[in-house]
Amino acid sequence: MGIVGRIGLRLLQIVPTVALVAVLMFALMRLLPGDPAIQLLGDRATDASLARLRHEMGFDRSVSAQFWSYLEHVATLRLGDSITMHVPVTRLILDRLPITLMLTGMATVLALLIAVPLAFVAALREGGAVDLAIRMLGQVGLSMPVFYLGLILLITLAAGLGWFPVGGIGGGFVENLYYLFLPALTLALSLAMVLMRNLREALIEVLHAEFVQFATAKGLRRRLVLGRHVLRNALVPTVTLLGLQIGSLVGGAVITESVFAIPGVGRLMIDSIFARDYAVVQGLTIVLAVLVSLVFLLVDTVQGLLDPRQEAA
Amino acid sequence: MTSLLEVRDLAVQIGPARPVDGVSFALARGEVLGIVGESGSGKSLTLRAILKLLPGIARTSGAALWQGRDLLAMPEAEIRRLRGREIGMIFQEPMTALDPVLPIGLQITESLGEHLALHGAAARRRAVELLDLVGIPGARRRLDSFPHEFSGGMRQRAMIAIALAGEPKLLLADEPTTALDVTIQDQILRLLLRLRDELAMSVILVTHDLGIVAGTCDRVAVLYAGRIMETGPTGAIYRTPGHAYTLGLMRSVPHRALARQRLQGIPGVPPDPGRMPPGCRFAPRCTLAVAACHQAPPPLRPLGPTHATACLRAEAVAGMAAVAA
Ligand SMILES: Nc1ncnc2c1ncn2[C@@H]1O[C@H](COP(=O)(O)OP(=O)(O)OP(=O)(O)O)[C@@H](O)[C@H]1O
Ligand code: SF4
Ligand SMILES: [Mg+2]
Repeated sequence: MGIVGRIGLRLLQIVPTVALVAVLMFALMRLLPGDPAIQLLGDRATDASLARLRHEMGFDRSVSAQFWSYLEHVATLRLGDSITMHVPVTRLILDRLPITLMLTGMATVLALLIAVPLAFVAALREGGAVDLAIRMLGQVGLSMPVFYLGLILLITLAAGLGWFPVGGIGGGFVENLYYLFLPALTLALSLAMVLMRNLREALIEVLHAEFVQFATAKGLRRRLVLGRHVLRNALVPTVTLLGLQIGSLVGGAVITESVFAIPGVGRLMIDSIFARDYAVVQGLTIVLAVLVSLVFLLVDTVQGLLDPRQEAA
Repeated sequence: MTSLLEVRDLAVQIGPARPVDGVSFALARGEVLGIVGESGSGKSLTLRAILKLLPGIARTSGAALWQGRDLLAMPEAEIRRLRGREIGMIFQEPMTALDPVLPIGLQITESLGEHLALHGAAARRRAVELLDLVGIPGARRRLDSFPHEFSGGMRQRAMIAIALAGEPKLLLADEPTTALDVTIQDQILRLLLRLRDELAMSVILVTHDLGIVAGTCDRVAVLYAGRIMETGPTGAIYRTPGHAYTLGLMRSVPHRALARQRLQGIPGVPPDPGRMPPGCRFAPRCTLAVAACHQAPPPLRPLGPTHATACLRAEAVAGMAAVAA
């Protein structure tokens, strides 16, 4: 199967995944305790106004009727209006999505920029003092919760030294690179440590591989042996891991956006959950499911490009 | 005549073990030297030591003079330029020696770029020629294939093509035909001999197989437990072996020496490289051993102008070989 066929197949696989997420979402929201109408209007709302609101939101219909109209809306991407903010959910999400994508994108790039060189240095000095120091750094980094790390960075680099803004976002892409640097770094550090540990192991294994000896025996310069043969082979398991980490990256983004007051979809999610805004939470979950599926697709494609043997499998 | 390569007293120490211990031999231009020995005798380590490819835990001593200059004393940057360019190497296992994620073409052209400054289309053209040379059908199409898409024999050929890319003067071939069926073995050996003739290339051919040695090598060195037991012209050694171990090897092959068969049949196993016997290393398995054999390692002594043995009972061995013939 060619790379195009492979991508097409994975795209098709997104449909059942998202459908499953949608169904689960519907069930979960109905299982949550509390009546959203009371939540919105308060304890002292009259029965008449509560009934009107329930009718507007469709809660007075049977569960199966609600379910089918819900599925229809999902399939046509009509995610409805926010119950609390009275604007289309799609608008809310589209307004905030770019900043979250930028945050997670920057975090991934930063994580790789940190992980790859450190892993290389450690692997090339396996068992040495530098290797030990880097591994200890990794342990410390891994055991530190994201929000705690974020607070430390915030207090020292932003509030203390004043090098970075303490939160919020700028106006425009370039300014946001600056505003999002600390949050992205916060998000990147634990990912970097996970990737580094994995890549170091992979590098050490590949460094001992026969084909690396053979590449050396061919008289290639060390840089080419390391950069082409060693790194490329070691990246295969690391890219897999990177894909698996996407879940914790999204989770970390929710926390980071809260710590740094960033108006992204993570914050939107938290706010909507607290406000019982079903429409937003449902819509957001579905959009995130689609995005995560797309990331898996991307990882899968990169993997196929990195390792031709995977395509045969 | 000065030798192309002269290895003097080569030893490899790994921890307490010394799996290569005092190996010496010389190789002339255009010559094919066979190194034979059972599994674990140190054949691969010897070849890798010459190109300084051993891992850090292995300590190498002795000298390997390449046209008079010691490879073992060369700085890494210098020996790197000789690898592939002056001395090419074929690894024992083509399955693991080829990079699994890169197309074969690139694995050839990167050598061409490094050693001959050939890049782009010119490099690809040359790579096609090399694949043609080693007998890979449809070479142009195969350039973009990956190792896992090749059969075992084709991978072996591809590896030879890679080793030849730098047009080396010496090819170190570590069991280039093991695990291939006999017809493909023959094709590959004939290919090596043709290249020797056409390119005046010297070859060190490591093998288990005495039949292959008889058919391809000008001279032989018999390795046992990290030491050279006997060395000399192939013909002389087959006619009058001067070492009880060599005789044992030849006897373990049915139908005289020429049959294609892996070495087998000498009772017992080689000593552990960490605990070598004090005298002749073959003594514990040798049916001809006398008391002196167990005392000190017998030195190599000449039996003819280029024939030497480390056996105390060379004359008895020659007599037995003559009776058997
Ligand atoms: N990296 C290593 N560390 C420790 N011991 C090693 C290492 N490489 C090889 N040896 C030992 O050195 C000895 C010689 O190994 P070598 O690979 O040279 O044998 P060989 O003659 O090529 O055998 P074969 O015919 O099986 O390829 C063996 O006993 C082996 O166990
Ligand atoms: S020296 Fe002695 S023990 Fe060693 S091979 Fe010769 S006869 Fe046998
Ligand atoms: Mg070997």
